[in-house]
Amino acid sequence: MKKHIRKFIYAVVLLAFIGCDTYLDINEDPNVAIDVPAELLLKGMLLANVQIQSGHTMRISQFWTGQMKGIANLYARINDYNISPEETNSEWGFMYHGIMTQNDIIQENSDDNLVKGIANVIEAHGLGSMASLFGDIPYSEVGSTEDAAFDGQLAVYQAAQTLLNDAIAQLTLVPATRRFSNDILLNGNPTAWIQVANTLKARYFLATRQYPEAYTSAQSGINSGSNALRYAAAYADYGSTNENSSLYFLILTGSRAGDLTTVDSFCEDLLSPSSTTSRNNTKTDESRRGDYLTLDQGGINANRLSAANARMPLVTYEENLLILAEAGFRVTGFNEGLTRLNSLRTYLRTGNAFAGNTGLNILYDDYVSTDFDAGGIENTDNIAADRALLREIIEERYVSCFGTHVVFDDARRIRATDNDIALPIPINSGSQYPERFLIAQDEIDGNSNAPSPIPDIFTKTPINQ
Amino acid sequence: MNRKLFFSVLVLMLSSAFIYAQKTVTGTITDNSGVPLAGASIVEKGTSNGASTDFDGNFSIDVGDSAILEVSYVGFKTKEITVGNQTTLTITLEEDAESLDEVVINALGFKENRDKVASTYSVIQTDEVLGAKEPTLINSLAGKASGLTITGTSADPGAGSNIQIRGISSINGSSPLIVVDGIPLNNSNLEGIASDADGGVSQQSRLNDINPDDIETIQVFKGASAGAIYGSRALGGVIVITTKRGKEGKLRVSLSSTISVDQINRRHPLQTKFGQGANGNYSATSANSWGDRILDRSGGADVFNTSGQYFEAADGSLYYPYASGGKNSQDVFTESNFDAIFKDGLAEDLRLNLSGGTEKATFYFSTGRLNQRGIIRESDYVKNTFTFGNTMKFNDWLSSSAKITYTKSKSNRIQQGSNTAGVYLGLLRNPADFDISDYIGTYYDNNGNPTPLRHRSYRRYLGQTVNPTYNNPLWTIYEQTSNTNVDRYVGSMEFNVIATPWLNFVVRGGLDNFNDDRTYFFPVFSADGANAGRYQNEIYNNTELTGEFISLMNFQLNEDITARFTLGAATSDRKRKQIYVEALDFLYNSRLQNPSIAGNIDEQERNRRTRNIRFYGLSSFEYKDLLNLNLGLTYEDASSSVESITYPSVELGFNWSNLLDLNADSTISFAKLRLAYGEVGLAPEPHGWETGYETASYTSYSDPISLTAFGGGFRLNDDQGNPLLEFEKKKEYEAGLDFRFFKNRLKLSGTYYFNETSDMLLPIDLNPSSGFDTLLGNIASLENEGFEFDFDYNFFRKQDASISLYGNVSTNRSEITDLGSVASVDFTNGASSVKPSAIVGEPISTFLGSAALRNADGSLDLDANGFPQLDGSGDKVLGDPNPDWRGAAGIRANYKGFSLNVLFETSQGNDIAERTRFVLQGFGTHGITGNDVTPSQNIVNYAGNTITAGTLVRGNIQDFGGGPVLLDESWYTSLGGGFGGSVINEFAIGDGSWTRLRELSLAYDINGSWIKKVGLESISLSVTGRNLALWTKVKGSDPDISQFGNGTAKGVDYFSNPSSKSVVFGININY
Repeated sequence: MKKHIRKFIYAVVLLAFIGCDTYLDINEDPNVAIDVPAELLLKGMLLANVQIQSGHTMRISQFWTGQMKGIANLYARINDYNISPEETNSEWGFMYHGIMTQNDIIQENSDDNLVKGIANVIEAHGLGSMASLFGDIPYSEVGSTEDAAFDGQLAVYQAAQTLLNDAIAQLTLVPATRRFSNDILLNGNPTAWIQVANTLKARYFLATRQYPEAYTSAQSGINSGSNALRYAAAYADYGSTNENSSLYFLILTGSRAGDLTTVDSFCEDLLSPSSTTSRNNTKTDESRRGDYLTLDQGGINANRLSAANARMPLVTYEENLLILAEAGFRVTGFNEGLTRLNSLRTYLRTGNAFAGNTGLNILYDDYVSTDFDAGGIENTDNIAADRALLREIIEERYVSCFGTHVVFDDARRIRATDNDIALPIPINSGSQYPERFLIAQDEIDGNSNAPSPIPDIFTKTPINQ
Repeated sequence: MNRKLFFSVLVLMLSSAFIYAQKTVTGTITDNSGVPLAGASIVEKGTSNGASTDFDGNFSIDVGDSAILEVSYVGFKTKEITVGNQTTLTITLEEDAESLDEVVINALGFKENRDKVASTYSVIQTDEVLGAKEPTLINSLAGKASGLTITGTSADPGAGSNIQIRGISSINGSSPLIVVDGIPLNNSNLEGIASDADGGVSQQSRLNDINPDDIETIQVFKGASAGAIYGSRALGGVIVITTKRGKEGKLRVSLSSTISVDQINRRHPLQTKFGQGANGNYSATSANSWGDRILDRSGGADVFNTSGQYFEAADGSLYYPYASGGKNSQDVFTESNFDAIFKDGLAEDLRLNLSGGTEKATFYFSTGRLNQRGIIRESDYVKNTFTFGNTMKFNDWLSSSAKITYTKSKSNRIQQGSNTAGVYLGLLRNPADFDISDYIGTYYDNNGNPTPLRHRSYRRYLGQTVNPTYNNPLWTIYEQTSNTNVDRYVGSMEFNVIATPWLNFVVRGGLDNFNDDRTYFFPVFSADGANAGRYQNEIYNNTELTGEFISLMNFQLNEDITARFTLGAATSDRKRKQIYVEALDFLYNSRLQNPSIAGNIDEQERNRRTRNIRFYGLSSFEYKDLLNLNLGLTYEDASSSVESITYPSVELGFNWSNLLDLNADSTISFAKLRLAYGEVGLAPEPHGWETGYETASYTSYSDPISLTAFGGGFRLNDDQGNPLLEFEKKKEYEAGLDFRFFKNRLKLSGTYYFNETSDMLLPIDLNPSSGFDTLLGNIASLENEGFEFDFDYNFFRKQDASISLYGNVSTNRSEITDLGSVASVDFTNGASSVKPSAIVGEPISTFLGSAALRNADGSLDLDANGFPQLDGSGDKVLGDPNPDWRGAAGIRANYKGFSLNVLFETSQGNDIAERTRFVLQGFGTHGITGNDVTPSQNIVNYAGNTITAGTLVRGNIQDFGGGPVLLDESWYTSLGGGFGGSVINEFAIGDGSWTRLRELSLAYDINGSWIKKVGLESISLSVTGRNLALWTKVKGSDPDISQFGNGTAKGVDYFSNPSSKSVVFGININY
């Protein structure tokens, strides 16, 4: 044995040492792709944006604007303005990782202007909503440093405008017949996306009270119901399984089903012909729209916005028409405002704008100027006719833009500068209206540039101060 | 160290060791009953020449003429043998009755005198493990050693437990390494995709696959210096298990059987006075129990509207909608509902082992079957184990041993935790006036259309919707299943080569493979997103191969100094494949557990593989039984680390009692000082270098939508990879004193330690504007500091009787010292509103969460009505789940054949997040919400309403500092109860300190002559109480359980399945 020992030891030692490095070279991740074409990131961006526009914060904004009520558990508390910063963690993640990180890759790696243009519209859409909800937020330094500075709210709106201009330029280069099936909202229709971009520009100009610019942009905005941005209008199997269904459907059938409802809300009363605060009049019957906008775990059906495949509004034809109405009124005058308002009413009475129980009435006759004179059907409290028209346009926006952030935007904007004609939205608790959402807990935890203390929900954002 | 240089030195050291001697003597060393003694030491007197025996007690040594051999073995009297002309010796050693030397197992698997060891060990004997009569091995270690903490997840049959030594050394691997007969054993506790950490079922711990009957000893290495031998996985300490081997001699047979009866040990108090509803009015669909006073009802039969929809239960009972005001019955079902879910658990454990052998070969065979039915009906755990081991001596220089174990287990555990399909969530939120018994049947709508197999729950008492909202708990246990099937093979093979009398080689290989196949089935109409049915199958296949080569050299350098060198090389290759199938949206209401019934199938596959190489050298010097010095150096590299790591260890033992002039009557019998320093690393998790693309689902609150459901797509992972990941590093200093007094009857041992882990890998929650969610990096560091104290006092000892007092106390204080630029890391990953977290300057796992608004002086900032307000400025520190100290104390008494063991265990100063209680306050089902008060003065509630003095009202009166206020529905459903971050979770935190009677056992050994006459060796009978008494301020749950299975997110109770207490009867027959 002894004579073999040397050989034995050397053999073992050598075997053990030779090729250690190649032996250990197995750390490449076997589970994930690293060469995904950039275009395949678009769909995830769309879903992230749908959550920003139609998810948790939008629903909360509905509690705070009388469109819905939080009646149990977390939503009951938030309904009464008890909210903590962790509630917005997801939205911030959707904006920065879900949209911006992915869009950076698309802009850098893709040659397809259609996809790049759509992606920029989405980023601008998310960005504008973030600026609206949170005021100052990080943007210009995002991606270059972990401790990104907070840009001023107005600067963020301006950045969104620039991004939309870029997007329109990119989309203009695309043949109008191009389509992209991974776009589950508009099937990659470049014309429709250009219109959506213009409506968003108009939305943001309205928010920053640049009414002439809003009026101009809206004229290139969405010009038909079919070009509106709705979740998930271009996906054939929309609503076929839970995870591709409407967010209203999901929350109203999930474990939080009984926590929120439109029943007994300010908005429901506004639409109900029988209520004392009804907006119905001899030219208006909101019965069918009231049915369509009923959101309650007990009444989900195919005619309602709570249906699994109900197309949730993101940026709509109605919104564009009403931007034209309000901005037109403010820029050009009463007649332009009335004409544009009647265009919306024309669209509403086609019955194509919403579903709802077809057994219920719709009536949207054109208004005439005398309707807004003192004593007219839209001016029973005898205010100035101009104010009465603007009041009706704003009220119409409140109803027609149901289920989008526009309602919360308007409520705060009008309260700041046109409080005389503001809707009498109820205050749920205390004596103040919420004016913003809390900066996400995750952002507070990780960004030394986050304000300390963070502004509470009753502090107005800069554009409304 | 330069790698080439290191290897050259290593090779040089190995080869320089070859010298020779003259005459070869071989022999066998046994005890006086003929049992071979493995690892006995044979030294040629006056020289450095020595050898030790192999597993069969055989040795071979080359000696000079007229040599005298000194033969010694731990626990035996040393013997001197004159060789003379003999070449074959048979040596019998006599046991040293006075010796209380404890024996420990060294890296080679050989026994060593504990007094000569410098690092901190605890030894747990097999009878202590078996005596605990726990159905799972890990739980039987609880309270047995200082610094060793066992935390269960629930009493579910087969549920795993968390093991921790000296607190948490790293967020990534604070569980100790388990080594069985020199081979690392996988002890994972994998949550999986199908079962979330915060909900789902309690997962198993793979260490529990072992048959406890196979265990000879368990040894707990606590310090980092153990890393020199065991490598980087020893960062959290090492538990070394030595299993039984066959012994030369006749066939030995041992048969044991135990039967355990288990009961729930803590119940949440529930109110029985108020019905389902809100605002004091009954409502049959309300989530809450803030309804009417049940005794105020008329007491007559309920009145129904029988014209339209109804529900026909499986037994034919009919349920109609209540007519307005139709709820008249005063019946309360709290007890019958509870009894429908819980019953006494029963576990039968039968074990058989056979062993025996010849001089050349031995064998060991064991088999065991555990059949356990849990305290929750339908939960079970069946485990079968088979072990076969043999040892073989081929010739005078080569011997081998081999062992193979096969374990097959299956278990059904019940859905729990934060999970609307969980059993406790549905049961505890259930109103007192709702009878759960008819949980399934046919629903007929207003038009008479039937829907069979509909789920009837308290919020859907007619089964009127597809979504029951919360499961009826009977549905959870009878309709849903969560089956786990495990097949596991562990094999090991070892060759021992006696190359020269002073040089041994050991070559070891091990294979550990398990296949863990889990099936979760939620039939159509289940809650938790499974209204349309959900089938999930998750299979883990895990294979670990290890190889180790060790050479051991013994020298007697001169008369006073003995030196021993160990050089080793080890490698491991571990790979795991995880296959996950999720089938949703069943095409019809089927009970077939197969994805073929589903309309929507998602499959995922995850692979991981990691390799590791390690070279180590150890040198031990012993000077005259006075000083021991151990030096170790390890070089290690891992596939998942970009850098290799080299780490040293130094241990010094100083038996200073040997300097004293001690005799048998001295007060002090033994005294020793131990000093140790060690470093160890922990390899990063594999495949963390890249940031790849993933599919994703997007949810903001109860509204998940997924790329998969939209035809597929990708996003760049929000968890960022990092190509610079390297080992985490831990340094530990320790100092200890061991004393024995009064002829070894009082033993005291104390240790102080301080350790620091740096470069800790942490997926840090990034601020969203960084563009990612998390980043994995070598970022964090933490410190642990503590004392450990063990005692054993045999204060009474007579011929037939002996009584000892024993126990241990330990403290551990941790502090997070660095988290990079991040303020906190949430260990629950966003799954809990009370977040055990890492926060710089605070102990690990400190609770963060929503708090009450406070004034500058720390008092509550109250609202106008005198109630606390929610602090909207973000999370605050709410408490610390780490105990100030833990301890165990017991009495061991023997009288003739009787033995009694009583063991108490305690944990003091640990906070607990009683979220079950807090949530139930919101639901109005918790006992505290059932109180009535008649205020003696006008009093205000949270809503600002005044209750006039003398009115009987539901609620509790409390003074937050602004005068007494009434806590009623308006308080408990807003800030004073419920879930989410918008309640004051600070009020969910309680004192989780506990003391329990861990073990109370009485055993009787019959080994009289009549036993021998019937051919048996002995019979022993035992009865053991486990967890019989628990003293704690926590109402409703055992504070030792936790919602989260991992070790870091501890101290949270959220509808976690309960813990149990047991009485166990056992019999053991030896032939």
